[in-house]
Amino acid sequence: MLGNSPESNPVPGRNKALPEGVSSAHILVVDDMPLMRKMIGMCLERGGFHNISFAEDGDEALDQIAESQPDLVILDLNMPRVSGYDVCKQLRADDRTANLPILVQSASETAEERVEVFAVGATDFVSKPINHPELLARVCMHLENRFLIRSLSDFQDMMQSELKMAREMQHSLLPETQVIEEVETVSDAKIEAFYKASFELGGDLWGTWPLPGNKLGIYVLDVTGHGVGAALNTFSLHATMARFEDKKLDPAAFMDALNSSLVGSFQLGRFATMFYAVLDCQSHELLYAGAGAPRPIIFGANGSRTLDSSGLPIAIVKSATYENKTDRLEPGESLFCYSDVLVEAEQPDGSMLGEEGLVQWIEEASTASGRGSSVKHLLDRFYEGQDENLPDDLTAVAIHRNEGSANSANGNEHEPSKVLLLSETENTDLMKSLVSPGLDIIQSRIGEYTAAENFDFSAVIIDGADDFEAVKVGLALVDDHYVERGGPVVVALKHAPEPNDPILSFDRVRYCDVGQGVDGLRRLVAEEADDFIRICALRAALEADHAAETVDLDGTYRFASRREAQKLAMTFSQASTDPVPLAIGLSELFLNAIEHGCLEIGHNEKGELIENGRLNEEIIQRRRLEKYRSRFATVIVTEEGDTIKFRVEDPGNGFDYSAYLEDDEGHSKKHGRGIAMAKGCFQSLTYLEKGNIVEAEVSRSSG
Amino acid sequence: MEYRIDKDGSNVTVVFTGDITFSENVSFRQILKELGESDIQTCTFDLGNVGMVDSAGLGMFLIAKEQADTSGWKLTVSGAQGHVASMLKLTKLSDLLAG
Repeated sequence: MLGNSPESNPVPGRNKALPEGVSSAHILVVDDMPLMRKMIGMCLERGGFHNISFAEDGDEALDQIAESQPDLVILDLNMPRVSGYDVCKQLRADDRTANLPILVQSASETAEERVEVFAVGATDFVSKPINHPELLARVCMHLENRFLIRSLSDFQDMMQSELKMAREMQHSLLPETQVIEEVETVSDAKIEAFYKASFELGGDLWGTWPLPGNKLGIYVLDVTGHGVGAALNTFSLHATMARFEDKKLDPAAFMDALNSSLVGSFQLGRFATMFYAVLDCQSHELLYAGAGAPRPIIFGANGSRTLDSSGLPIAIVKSATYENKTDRLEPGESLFCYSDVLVEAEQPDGSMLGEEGLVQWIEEASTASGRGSSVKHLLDRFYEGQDENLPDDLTAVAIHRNEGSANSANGNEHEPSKVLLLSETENTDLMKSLVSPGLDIIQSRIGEYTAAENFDFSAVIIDGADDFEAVKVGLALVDDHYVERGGPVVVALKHAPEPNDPILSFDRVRYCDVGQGVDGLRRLVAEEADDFIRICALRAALEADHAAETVDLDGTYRFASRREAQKLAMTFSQASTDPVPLAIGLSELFLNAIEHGCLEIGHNEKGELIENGRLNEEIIQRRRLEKYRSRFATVIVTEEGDTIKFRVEDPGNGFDYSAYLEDDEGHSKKHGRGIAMAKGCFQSLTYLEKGNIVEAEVSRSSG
Repeated sequence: MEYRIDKDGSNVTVVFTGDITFSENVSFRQILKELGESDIQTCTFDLGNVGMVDSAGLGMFLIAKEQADTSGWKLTVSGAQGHVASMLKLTKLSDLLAG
C-alpha cells in the first residue's frame, strides 16, 4: 500500500520540491482510530510535510483549532461524541475558520453522503481506503490555493493601502490653509473649497496663490483617466507649474508653457483640462485663460454669467496656443469653478444636471444659504441624489468677494494713503521729498484751500513756515469730524522751537522737525496714516457688527494671522461698554505680536515697509518661510469681577520696552506710537520678560 | 455605448449610440482594432445618437485621430449635438477633428 519510497518524489504530477510555505504548513489530522492517524501522518511526512498534529475526536479538534489555527484539516466523518459533520459546521460558522481548507475522509460512498459533506462546508473529499498519492495531491493543491489566495489578498491589501496613500498625496497637493488665508486677506474674500478624490484615484486638482501687485491666481484642472496613471500625470502637472513662477501673472503664457513642456510626457489619449485666472484685487479685473475646463460661473446680486473657458486641453498638441480673456470680479461677486462630474453625473431621474442646471442650482443655493456658503449648500443637494463614492474626483471651489472691500477690518495698506499737504509757501523740496509709493499727496496753499465736502484724508501735514498764525489758520481748515475720529495732523517745523514757543501749544498735533532732513516726516506721516486707516476700519466693522452679546471670555486663544488677530480683538472688545478703544488697543497689541513677534519684522523695518506700501506683501512672503510658517501668538484672558486681563505672548525676541513707556518720550519717538496708543486704551499695560509678553487690564464698564 | 461599422468601399462610418465614457474603453479599443485591420481612406464617427461624452471619451477620439494620422487615413466626427457638441466646442477638439 505504501507504494512510494522516501527517495522518490512523493507527490504525483510534481517534479519540483514543495514551496517553503507549503511544506511548513500546519496540518491537523483528526481521526478516532490510532492506526489511521499514524498512516496519514506517515504519508504526509513522506510527502515532505513536517508540521503535523493530531486529534482523537471532534471535540479535541475544535479545541486545538481554537488554540492554534492549522493551514489545513484532514477530518474523519464518523467519530464518537462530535462527528466530522458537526466539526465542519462549527468551523464554517466562525468567521476566523470560514475559509480553512477541510479535507474530509470517509469510507462511505453514497452520493447523498457526498452531497451532505459538501453541504456542511467541507472543501474536498477523499475516500477510504486512502490512496496516498491522491491524498498528497489534494493536500498540496488546497494548501497552494490557500497560500495563493493569502498572498493575493495580502497584495490586494497592499494595493489598497498604496492607493490610499496616493489619494492622501493627491490631497497634499491642494493649497495649505495658510496660503488660502493669505489669498483671502489679499482679495478680501472667502474661499469655499471642496475636493474629494474618487476611490479609484482621479486627476482633479485646484490651487491658489497670492501674486505681486495685490493680485491672486486661482486654477482648477482635471487630468483625464482614472487610477495611478491619472494621479501620476496630476503630480507631473503640479510639479511643472512650479517651474513657471514667472508666468503666473499671465494665464495664457502660463498655459502655453505648461502645454509645451507636458505635450510629450502624457500617454496618448490623456490630457488635462484647465482654467486659470488672475484677479487684480484693486481694479477687480479678472484675466483668465481656458483649456477646455467646465465653464466657471460668476454670480452675485446682479445675476450670473459663465466664462468662456474653451481651449485645447493641455498636452494634446504642441502647437496649441491659449488666449487671455478679461472679465471682472467685483466685491460682492463670487467666482465658482468645478469639475465635470458635477454637471455630468447621472441624477436620480437618469438625466444629467448640465451647465444650465448648475447655474440655476448655484443661484438657488446663494439665495437659500447666502453667497458665502453656497457651494456647501449646492453640494449637499448634489449628494442627495448621488452615491457618496463617485466614479470621478469632485472639485468645487468658489472665491466669494466680500461687499465693499475697501472698508474691511483687514486694513488697506496696499492702497497709497491719501494725504493733504497744506503749506504756507511754495515748498517744492518738501513736496518732492514726500513722494513715496505709500503716499498719495494732495497739495494746497493754506490761503487757497477750500475744504473738500468729503474730507477723506488719512493724514494732514501743515507746513506753516514756523509761523504760529499760519499753523492756526491751517488747523482751522481741517475737518472737525476728522480730528474727532483721531485723524493725524502733523506740523512740519524747519527749526527746533524753543520749549515755550506758542507753536507747540496746539492740541492733538504731532510735530516733526524737518530742518535736519525730511525722511523722518515721510515715515511719520506714512505710519500715522496707516494706523488711522486701521482704526477707521475697525470702527466701521464694529459699527456694522453690533451683535453685542456678553460672552464668557475666559480662556486661551491662539492667533497666527492678522485677520485672526483683528477678529479676536473685535470679539473681545464686545465685552466692554465702549468697544472701540478696547478694539483699537487689543488690535495694536495683537498685531505687534504677529508682525514683530511671530514674523520678526523690526520696528524700523515696518515703518519703511509702510512708507513703501509693501507691508502686506512682506508679511505674506514671511509667512511662507519655513521659519515662520508654524508660529503663532497666544492671548490668555481672565476675568476678575469687572476687570478683564489680557496676557499676550509671542515667540519673538522682544524689544527694549522701557524706552517706550514714558508718555512724553513716546510722543516724539516714532517706534513708541503703537505702545502709546495702546496704553491710552487700557487701565494698565505691563511688559514682561524680554518684551515678548504684555499684560493689559481693562474694566468692562469704563472701556 | 453600442456601435455599428458601415463600410462603403474604403470609406467607413462608425455609428455610435449611447454614452461614450471611461467604461467604454474596451469596446472602443475593439473598434480601433477593427479599423486597423481594414483598408480605409476616410472614417467618420457619427455621433448623432450619442447623449454624452466625458473627458475619457474625448481621449479615445484623440487615440483614434493618432491612429488615423499614422496609418494615413482621415478621421472626422459628425452629427454631434447637445452635450457632445458643447464638449467638442469647449475643448476645441471640434477644430482638430473637423471634416
